[in-house]
Amino acid sequence: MSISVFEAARPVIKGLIIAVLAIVGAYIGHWAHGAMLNDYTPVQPIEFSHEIHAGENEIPCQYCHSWADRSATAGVPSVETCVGCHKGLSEVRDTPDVVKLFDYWERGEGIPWVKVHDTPDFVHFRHKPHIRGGVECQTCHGPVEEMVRVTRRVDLNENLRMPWCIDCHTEEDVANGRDCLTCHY
Amino acid sequence: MLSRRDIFKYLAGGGVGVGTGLLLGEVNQRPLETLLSTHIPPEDFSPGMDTWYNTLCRMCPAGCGISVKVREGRAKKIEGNPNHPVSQGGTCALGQASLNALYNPDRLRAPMRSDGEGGFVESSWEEAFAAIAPRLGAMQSAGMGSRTWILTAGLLSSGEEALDKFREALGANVLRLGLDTPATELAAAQAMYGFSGLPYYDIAKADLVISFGADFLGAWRSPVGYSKAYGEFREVGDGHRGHLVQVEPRMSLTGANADEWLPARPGTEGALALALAAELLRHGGSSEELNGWEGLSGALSLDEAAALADLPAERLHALAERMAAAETPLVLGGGAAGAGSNATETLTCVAALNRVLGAAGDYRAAQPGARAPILGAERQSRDLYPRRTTARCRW
Ligand code: SF4
Repeated sequence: MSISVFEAARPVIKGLIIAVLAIVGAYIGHWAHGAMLNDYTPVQPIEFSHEIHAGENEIPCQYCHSWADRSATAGVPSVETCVGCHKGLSEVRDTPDVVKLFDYWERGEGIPWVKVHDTPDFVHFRHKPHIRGGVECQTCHGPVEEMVRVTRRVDLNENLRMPWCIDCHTEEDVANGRDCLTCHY
Repeated sequence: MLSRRDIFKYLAGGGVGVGTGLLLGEVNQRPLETLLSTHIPPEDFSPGMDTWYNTLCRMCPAGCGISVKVREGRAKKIEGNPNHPVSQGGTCALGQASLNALYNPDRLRAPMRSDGEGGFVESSWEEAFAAIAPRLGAMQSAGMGSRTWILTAGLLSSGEEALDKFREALGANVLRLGLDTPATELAAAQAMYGFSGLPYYDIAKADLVISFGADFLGAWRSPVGYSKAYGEFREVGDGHRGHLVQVEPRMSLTGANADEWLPARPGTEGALALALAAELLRHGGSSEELNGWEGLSGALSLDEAAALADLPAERLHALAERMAAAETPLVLGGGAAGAGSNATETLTCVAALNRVLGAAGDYRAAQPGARAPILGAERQSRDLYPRRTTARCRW
């Protein structure tokens, strides 16, 4: 009797096994995508190295991202800013990426950088209060001065979410730091 | 137990799962955005911050003062400029909506050239200059500059000056055409107030306003400025609430707000104004100011004018009495009254009525407490009151 019941349930069990395998597979696929096919390190139109500029040459962040302490956005430098220095740097003038830079300059175009860090539109993040409050750029952006191609670290990507903001706001005892309308307005 | 077939099924299930996972990961990514750098930033470029520019609204000829919020080189919002004398911080709905005109996809962004078949094709400024400049040059060197006409709807301030220089350089003529070209009002102001330019009607200080066709709450001359003045005119606080009479065949927004609406037959407004002026002169005795105005040529009696305009005569008589009793009466002319074939005469007669009422003043007289609600810009002659009337009406 029991054998025949088992026999009858067999296709159902098989189906269940397939379903479980599919779900486990989906998790693996999703994880694999995040780990290997992510766009946390987008290819930029010019292979600009923060390691050389901010690391080796110790150019301060706000020399180029000069609105960080005044505005919501830190801003990217104008092509004029890049060329301003590079005009005098003949020793790297012929490297492929500097050639690209001067091509943009001569065409009179801006450089379409790809955003690495971005908050959703319903979050109004402002650089100004953070910079003026003494938060290091690296706290959120990671050790940019060590990066050749800027990346959003996977763990940072996980962390750069609301709980992470709130934790810091709580720890630092920020005025209105836990008020919804501080960021969502 | 585990057959070959089963293994394939399990593998297929797992495979579909992994594929779905990858796909979900892909579609769940936030799309990458680009951050376009500037080439050479404008002087006051500051990403993420507002820059406000003061300028003039050009959606109507009033030219209200506005401040435009600009972010990263894009106009985002328009507010009234509180320091502007005309609008004092106000804008109308059109002014607010003018951003939509700026970003309208149908707005012309380049010169258009006729394709010879009734259509237009886009061309470049270089092409346009190359097409026009030699012809203008040829006209000029042939001494035919005066046969060149510049057609325009009218510009403002510096644009007008540039146009003037251009016209002078070519020896050309300017023909102003537009829905709102106030040629008739200009002619009437020249004839009756003696200055070239549009008069400013100081509605705020009047206690009686009779408007012949001028829809100043809707779309006449300077809606924002006049709406503000209208608010003061209707102010009840100090026991002064102005009385508004609108004379026009179709009830406009101003007509709907008026205390009295007189639907005179179109084209008869001038006759009405002159009849009223003559009536006032007859009963008002002769003040020193009005010497030479006694025989208003061509004026009808009030009853004749009422019959002509298809209005009850008693309403006109009542109006004449109200005018005689008013302290600071003011008459406006424009809109429908300024649009007929006899528009210049009509508006001249309306202006004459202002003269008879003693409503025509000058800068000083427009100061608070003064009795003269009209302020004329750029009066040419000191003699505001020529001794002989030139008012002649045709209807
Ligand atoms: S009245 Fe309105 S449309 Fe005209 S200039 Fe003023 S704001 Fe602009």
